[in-house]
This record gives sequence, C-alpha cells and structure tokens, in this order.
Amino acid sequence: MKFRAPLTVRALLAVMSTSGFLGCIYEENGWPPPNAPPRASEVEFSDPVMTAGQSLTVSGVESLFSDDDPLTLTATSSDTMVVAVSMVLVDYTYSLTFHALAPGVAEVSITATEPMGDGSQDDQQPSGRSVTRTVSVTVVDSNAQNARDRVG
Amino acid sequence: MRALFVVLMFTLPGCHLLDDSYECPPEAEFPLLDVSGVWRGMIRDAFPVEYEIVQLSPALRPGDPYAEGEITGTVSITIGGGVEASGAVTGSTGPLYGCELHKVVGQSIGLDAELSVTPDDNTQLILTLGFLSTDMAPNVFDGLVDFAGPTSVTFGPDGKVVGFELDDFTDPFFTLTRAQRADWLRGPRPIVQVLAGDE
Repeated sequence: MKFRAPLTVRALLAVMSTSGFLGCIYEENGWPPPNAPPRASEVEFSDPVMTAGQSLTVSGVESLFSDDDPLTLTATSSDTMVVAVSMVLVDYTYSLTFHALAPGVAEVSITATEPMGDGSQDDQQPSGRSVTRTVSVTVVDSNAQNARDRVG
Repeated sequence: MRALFVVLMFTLPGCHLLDDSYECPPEAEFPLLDVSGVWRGMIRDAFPVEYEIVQLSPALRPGDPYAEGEITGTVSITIGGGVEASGAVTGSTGPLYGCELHKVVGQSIGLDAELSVTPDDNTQLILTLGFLSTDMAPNVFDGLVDFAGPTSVTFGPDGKVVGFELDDFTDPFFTLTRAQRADWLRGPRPIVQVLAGDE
C-alpha cells in the first residue's frame, strides 16, 4: 500500500519548499541590492573667507551629500576659537551657520550619517555609515578687511 | 504547434523584427540643424538661463552614422538674490535614427557647464549644469537639466554675503528655445575656417 500524506501536510511541504527555493533566489541573485553608503554629491562648496564677527549661513547643506535614505548631518570646527559652527534642521532642510570669531584658519567638517541604513528590518543591510566633507574657513581681522575694502 | 509559435512571434515584444514583412510607420525626416546661436530657457520656472553656443563640427558625416557635432560656448544663469553666474559650456549634438535605421528623425544635444559667481570679494560659488535632450523640434529642445549649486544668495546691509542656499535637483521639463542665430552665422564662420585649417 502506497503511503500518501494528508493534504494539509503536502500543502505545508509545498510552502516550505517554495519558500526555501525563493530564499535561494533571494540570496544567490543578491536581491535586494546592498544598501549604498552616503556619498558626496556634485555640489561644490568653495572655502569661504570671512571677517571676524561675521556670520554666514548656508541652507540646503544636505545637497552636499547623496543617499537614497534619510541622513543626519553634523558639523564640527577644528578650532572653535576661530570659527564656531551650528547646524539646525527646519522643515527637512539643514542650515549650517559659520560664526567667524577671530583671525585664523579652521577646518569645518560636515558629516552625513545614515543612522537607520535603508530603513528596513533586514539586519544584513548595513547602517550607521557616514561620509565627511571638509571646508577650510579663513577668518581675517575686521580692521584689515575694512582697510582692504577702502583700497579696493 | 507551428501556429502557436507564429502567434507568439507576433505577440512577444520585439519579435516583429523577425518578420520580414514588418513595415516601419511613416516618420518624417528631420533636417539636422546647426545649433550655433543663443538659446534661452527657464529652470524650474525660476532661474532664467542663456546659452550662447557654437557648433564646431557637423552633426552628421557621410559614412559615420555615429558622428556627433562638437559644441563649445558660454552660459549664464540668474539665481535668487539677482546674482548671475556664468561659465563655459562643452557638449555635442547628433542625429537620432528612427525605425528605418538610416533615417534621421530627430536631433540630440548634450551640454555640460561649470559656472561660478563671486557675489562679493570673499565668496565664490560654483554651479554645474548638465543638459540633455533627445527630443527636438526645430529650434526647440525639450530635455532635462541637472542643477547642482547655489539657488540664492542673501546680502547684508553692507553688501556682504550673509548666506546662500544650495540645491541639487533635476528639472525634467526644461525647454531650451533658440532666441536668435549668432550674428556671424550670416557671414563666414571664422571658427570653422580655423578648424578646416587644422585638418
């Protein structure tokens, strides 16, 4: 007598084999593709020259980076006695303000981090990666700048 | 089975190419234009842009269906705050072939430009524009433009820049319209004569 499994068992086996088969396709074809890290965009940012006491606000700073997923932006100054920086997020737009405090040169690092990765629950997808762009800010003395303006 | 194969051949996309009896739909031949001259458009309905370009070589050359005409020139754009950025353009233009593979039915153009603006002594801003069109009516290119750079500049009471705004976007509804033909097109083309001397 030939053994025949009940219909529910056969259905369960079919589902298991199919899902396993799909799993093979999923893994072997590399789908979904690995989440790409954030990267610098084509937007260029020239090094600013500022006068002590001056502030310069750049809005849309997220344009400096490119990623399909939400990014968190931060900025730090290599010399906060020369240049202080502040970053604010309003209506999904980041604004970075440079505060020129004293003559000198400071490197300002603007970092974009992808904290949630691609936002999926897939623990195989990387997250937390970041990319940094650096701006060199030169601060000149306000008296020297005024003198230069008068000559110019 | 043979009938099924024939039915599939006519149904599946692309399979009509296997059928010798397929006829191309009527397509008008497009006379390739020398695109030299002034072209104007409006990016995102906000930023007027003007290209002044010179086509250095023909877009179609006998025996070379993939030839492209080389383009050079200048571009200027007015961004928010009334600031004008300008820069150099490089690019190319070429024929678009239709169903009949040797019949030119359109003209493509691609223009790349890097612009800069110095709104005060201490601030220089860089802007890049990339324009691509594969759909041309006479004297009108419909295409898309990639914009990367400042969209507006804010000045303080002393005339110094106190802020600017950056953006990186594509305007897929950009139209470039010929404003006028370059003056020198009415006479000899000196730049072509120079090229001819180089050859």
